[in-house]
Amino acid sequence: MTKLHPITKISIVFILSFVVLLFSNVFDLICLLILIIILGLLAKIPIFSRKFRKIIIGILISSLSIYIVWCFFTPVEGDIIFFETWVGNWHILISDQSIYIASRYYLRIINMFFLMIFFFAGISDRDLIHGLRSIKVPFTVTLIISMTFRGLSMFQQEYSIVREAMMTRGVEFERASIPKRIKNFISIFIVLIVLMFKKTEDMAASIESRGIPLRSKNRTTYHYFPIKKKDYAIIIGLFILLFFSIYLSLINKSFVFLFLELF
Amino acid sequence: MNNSSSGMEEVRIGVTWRHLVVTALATGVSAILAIYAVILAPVAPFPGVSGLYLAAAVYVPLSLWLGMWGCFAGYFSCVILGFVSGFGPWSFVWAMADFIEGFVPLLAFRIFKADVDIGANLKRKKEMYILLAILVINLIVSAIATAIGGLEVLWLITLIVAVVLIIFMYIINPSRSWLLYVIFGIFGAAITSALWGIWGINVFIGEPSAEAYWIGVIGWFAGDLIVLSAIATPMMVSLTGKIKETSIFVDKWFS
Amino acid sequence: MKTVVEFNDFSWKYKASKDLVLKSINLKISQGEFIGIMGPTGAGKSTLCCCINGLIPLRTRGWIKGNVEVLGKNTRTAKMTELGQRIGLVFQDPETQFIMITVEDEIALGLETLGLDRVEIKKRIEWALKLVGLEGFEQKSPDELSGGQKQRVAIASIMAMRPEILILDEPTSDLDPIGKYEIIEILEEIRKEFDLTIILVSHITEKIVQFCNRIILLDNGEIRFNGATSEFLKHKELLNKLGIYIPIHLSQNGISKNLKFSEQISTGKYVTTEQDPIIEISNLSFTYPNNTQALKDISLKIFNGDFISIIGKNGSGKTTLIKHFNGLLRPQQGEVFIRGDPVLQYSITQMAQIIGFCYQNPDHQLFKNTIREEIEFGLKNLKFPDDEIKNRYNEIIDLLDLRKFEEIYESTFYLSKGIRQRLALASVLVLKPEILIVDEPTTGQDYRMIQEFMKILQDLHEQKHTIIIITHDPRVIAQYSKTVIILDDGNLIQKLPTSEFLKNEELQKIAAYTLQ
Repeated sequence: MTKLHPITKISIVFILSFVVLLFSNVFDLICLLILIIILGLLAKIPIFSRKFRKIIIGILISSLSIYIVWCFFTPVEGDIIFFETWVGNWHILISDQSIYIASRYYLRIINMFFLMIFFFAGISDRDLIHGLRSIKVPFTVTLIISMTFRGLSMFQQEYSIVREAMMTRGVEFERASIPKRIKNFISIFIVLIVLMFKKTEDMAASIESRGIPLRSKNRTTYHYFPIKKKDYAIIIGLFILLFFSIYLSLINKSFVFLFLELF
Repeated sequence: MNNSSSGMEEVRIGVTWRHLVVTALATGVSAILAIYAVILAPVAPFPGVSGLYLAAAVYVPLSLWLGMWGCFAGYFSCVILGFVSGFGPWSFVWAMADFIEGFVPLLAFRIFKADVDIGANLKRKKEMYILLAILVINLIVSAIATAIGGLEVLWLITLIVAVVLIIFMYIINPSRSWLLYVIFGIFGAAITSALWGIWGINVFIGEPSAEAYWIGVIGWFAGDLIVLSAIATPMMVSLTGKIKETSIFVDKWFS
Repeated sequence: MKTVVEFNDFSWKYKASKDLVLKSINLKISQGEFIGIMGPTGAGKSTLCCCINGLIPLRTRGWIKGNVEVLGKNTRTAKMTELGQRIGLVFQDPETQFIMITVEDEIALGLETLGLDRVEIKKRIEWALKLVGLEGFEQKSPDELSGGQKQRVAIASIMAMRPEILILDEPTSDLDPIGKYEIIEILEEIRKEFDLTIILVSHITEKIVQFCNRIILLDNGEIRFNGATSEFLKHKELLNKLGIYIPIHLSQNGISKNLKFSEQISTGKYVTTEQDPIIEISNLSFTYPNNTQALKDISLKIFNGDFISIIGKNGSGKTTLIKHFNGLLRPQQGEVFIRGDPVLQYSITQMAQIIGFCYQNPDHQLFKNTIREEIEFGLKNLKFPDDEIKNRYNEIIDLLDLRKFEEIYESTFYLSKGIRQRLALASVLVLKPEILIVDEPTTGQDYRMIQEFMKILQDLHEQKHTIIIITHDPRVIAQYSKTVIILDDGNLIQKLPTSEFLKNEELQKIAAYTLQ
């Protein structure tokens, strides 16, 4: 994975994301999920490390709420009715169809989520920026993206410092009532906003002082990553998968069942 | 100081790197707050929705201070949230909810040519905040009545109460800026973003029933009302005057 | 000699400022000169720098009169891109100057703008990193660099563009002694090797005098002195009036090549009771989640009424140690006792009344809009009764002489950095902590502000507060602290009286105490 061109890595994530949106069969989505996990493991992304495990479990559990939408708020008739009742005008109907539909969208979210792990763990900030520049995305855009990443880490740090500073003045975040917590957050916000404006001035001055224009016509690019044959092969393969997925979704056929029919 | 008489000329500047940098940094700040908000107060069963969407308290005021740059910060921070929540490329569509949330108050202030400094000459601050709190509670009740249906009387009452409260606020503090902010910066921003945002999620999770849609809208709307009134408003009151004096302040759309 | 910078009756006022920040400046700078700019905080030094590189008026709102010509271009009508490519400006804060993700990308940023090809860019990156002593650092990210290293990268990225004028605006202000030393060394190199016009803004009189052939002294937007360095030191009265620090060896000997620091130790009252350790640490070790071991088996006693400086290089563990005192970090191994009781038995909010902590950047600890709200913030959190809040407020606002600012300024955001620092101190002191910890009280401050702030701490010490400061400032250590605690790489090297420390060059070296 690390030896792939940045644009190939980005393409894997984005094209597969579109494929996820196109697949509507639960078995297709399960197979896709397995494929994504295998790709991630092959790319040596520590998907099941402690750091990601907690987040994955959190998402797996919280996304189950989709079942609440489909089972409790959207009565869908099916072959098997597991539960049905009326509460006033509220019709609750849990059928095999509602569970199937909920599962479809649950798997959609889980697939996307694993792709995002792939994205954040497998593609560094640098990869993203160099990848975008290699496809001639304007320099100004890539610089903004770079600064957004810098901003993310800078403000995480600032947030911890400010929060600590408030604790040293007697603020108890955990034990405070909701109105008090809101008040405390307002204080943190105001400090972060003021710090943000100060940092903006300094960073902007630093950029301007190097004579970097907003729109560079004659700007060269230092980094050069040639796109190799294997990158082309992967990208072409992904596009074939994408077009095939579009075709299948138009004729309303499942990838897995088509495969089983053929073999 | 009468600058022109002492021979000094005013310097005005257009779009600079400052505006782009602040968009980038604000996107970072808003994205962190957005992710934190969704973890802190999720609105089940909607992924990516928070009952206390803290990020709105950043990019809505930023839209009033920085024009379109603030709207962009809201948009891109929501794109990041969308990706983290599992929406993938659909995030680019869904995130329009946060763009709209910043754009609606900005548009209102520009159309009516009003001063965004809602804190300037603000009279009886404490009373105004109390009235605002009552108005927010009233609007949430109104939203619930709208969603549930069959409660037209309650809906009508809450509507009348809302109008009376707004008129009362204007009597105590006859400020066009405050009025516009309450109507468009709190209510208008929250409702428009809720309508788009839940529509976006519903499309992503298969367009379930209308009931589910309206429950989502209430959750989003109420959450944003609370954040915009309780957090964004004091920030606007405290900081706008200071920010107006800086080179970064935008009084048109981009500069 | 060719004039490269010329100010013609130039005045400037920011949009937000009430008064002119620069007033009728007339100034010429010739090619190849090394100019030092000094002056108290708020004199207009940074503004002057920004006027030379075109940030003012091309990128800043305000009011202008007169003009500035730089390298033959009028800054009112020139292009910012052209000026920026020919004039380099290094700012004070190393953090916010680093825009890109790696050192290599940071240096390449400006070079790509010049339209250079890859081969040339690579050559210049290597050359610039060699110049600043950072060969092999190409792939490092900003998080992996110290403040001094980041500042060196900033200089490298400017020098790689081969500017004709180099401006450095307090480049060592936010750095530890090692960082300062590194930057000064680079300036030496640049001065020797290149025929550059250099403009250095600094509070470090020794270095200004050492490097510069001409000094400009600014005060309140006006030039008070503009002349040769040799003449500068003769204006003792003016320098004293403006709070410019003149080291004794300079005032006695004029410009001397021997710049070894030597100052009189303060013989103020020393109030301590050896029998009562107010803080006791036993075998304390701490490792951060990223596996950095910040503290290694430290045992230490701090006695009531002491005035302590905790010193050491960046990354030696000073802040980690301090955070164990006030409970922000809990011991992983070992024990910490406050007033004889384990620190674990106190909540952080209880600790707030025992130990007060002032951060290096006052912006991190000012949360409220008005001075009153800020000072009362802690008291309200700890649920003090209204009468008590009122009494304490009045006591502290007069003690720290903040009442006049409350009347003048509606909001804390309008206060200058020095006053904000004083307000931060007030907001902590109002809780009447027995122990006061201050992190880097002198960073970025001019001599007069340092003196004023340290006097407040000295007075508190005489009122039997235990004062602990983290500092790199040798003057502060020598003049105010009674005890020195030296940390290095997470280890406690020694705790000893300041008088003994000042005689021990070996320990001073470990602690990176001096500038040489």
